[in-house]
Amino acid sequence: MLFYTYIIIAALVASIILTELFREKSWRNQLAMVIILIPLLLRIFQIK
Amino acid sequence: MEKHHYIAVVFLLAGGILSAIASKDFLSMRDADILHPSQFVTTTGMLSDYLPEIKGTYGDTKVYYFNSGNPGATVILLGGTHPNEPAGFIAAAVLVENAQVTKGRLIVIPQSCASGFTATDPLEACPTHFTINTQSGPRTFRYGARGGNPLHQWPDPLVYRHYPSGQQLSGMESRNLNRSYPGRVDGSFMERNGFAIVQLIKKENVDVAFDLHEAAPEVMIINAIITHEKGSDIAANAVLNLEFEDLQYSLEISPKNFHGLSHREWGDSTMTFAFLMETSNPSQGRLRGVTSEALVVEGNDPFYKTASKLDNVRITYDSSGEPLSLRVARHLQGFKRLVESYNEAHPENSAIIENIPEYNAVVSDGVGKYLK
Repeated sequence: MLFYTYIIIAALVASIILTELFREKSWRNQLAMVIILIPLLLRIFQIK
Repeated sequence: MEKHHYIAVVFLLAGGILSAIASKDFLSMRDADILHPSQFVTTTGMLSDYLPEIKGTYGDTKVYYFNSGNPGATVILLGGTHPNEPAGFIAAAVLVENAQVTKGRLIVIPQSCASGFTATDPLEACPTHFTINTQSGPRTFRYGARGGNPLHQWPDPLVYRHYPSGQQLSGMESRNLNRSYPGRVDGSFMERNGFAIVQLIKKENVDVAFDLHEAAPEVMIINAIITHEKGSDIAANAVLNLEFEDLQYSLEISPKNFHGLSHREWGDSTMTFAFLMETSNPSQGRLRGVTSEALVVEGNDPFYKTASKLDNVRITYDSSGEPLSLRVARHLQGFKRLVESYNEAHPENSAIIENIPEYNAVVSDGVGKYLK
């Protein structure tokens, strides 16, 4: 149960980052967001 | 679309490409290692044959049976309890691909913690695979993690409470197969894995059981045989015989109050004589430099070499290195002498296992010569 709760939280955080990525105007912040997104996606898809 | 939207798309694409590259590497660890069983393997099965609840999970793993057809003792050997200790797995693979049993039975589980072979330990910068040159050319094997993959059992508790003793251990040990025995059917993923192995030992009436490990050169118990007190005479005899061959093994008796380990729990909960062997593996150590495939296979590390020359550092490291071939050879020779020692003590119920490569041959030829 905790595992799936974690996946849902990770998916929510990823979607927020994705939304913010397109609102953000500083390319440095956009780059940081994409870097944060990578491990979240690997976790959501249960690759790592 | 504005300029920052285009930048977001470019960064996303770049992130996607990087993720795809990383994913390919991570997913490659789910491809099973291929063994070529000896013609003397009579049957193969799965661990789930003893506990259907683990069927189809990463707790399930292949089991190889050598049945001589002649009555005698049943011996089991486990490799890969800790998948970042490759000498145990490779020694088991050498047995699967070479052994011949003429009396009694031999059961081999080369990758006891199958889950741990699907990931590496975080922050350790270990390779995912290593390659050995064999009779058929280079063969690649997985180098896994000490515990099970967190994808298969998560989250780790803050404190792991061993069942049934109640002993408290670090939370990450909840994914350690060698802290999970005797396990329970309604327990965690790893407790079920441990339970299935104990069920196998009970149902097959295993007389002698081996669990092959490795440890960092600075660990106190190294190049050692650890046994449940029931097997102390057998182990002492084997250690003496190994000493005559100039092979030093320290003999340790399993602590009675340290629970969850194979040598303690198999001995307590089954009739088997339980033995665990350790070799010195620099690719696990804290002093190591770059953790490459070469370090795993050749066991040569400049920092351990320097440390071995210092008087105030206690390590078990030969300055010429601790190659995988040497570590596998030690496991095979220790296994052979322990089985012989058991046979001497139980001539009425012995096991005869042949075609196990000799220590000197494995060291000089390289272990690859004994893999098909």
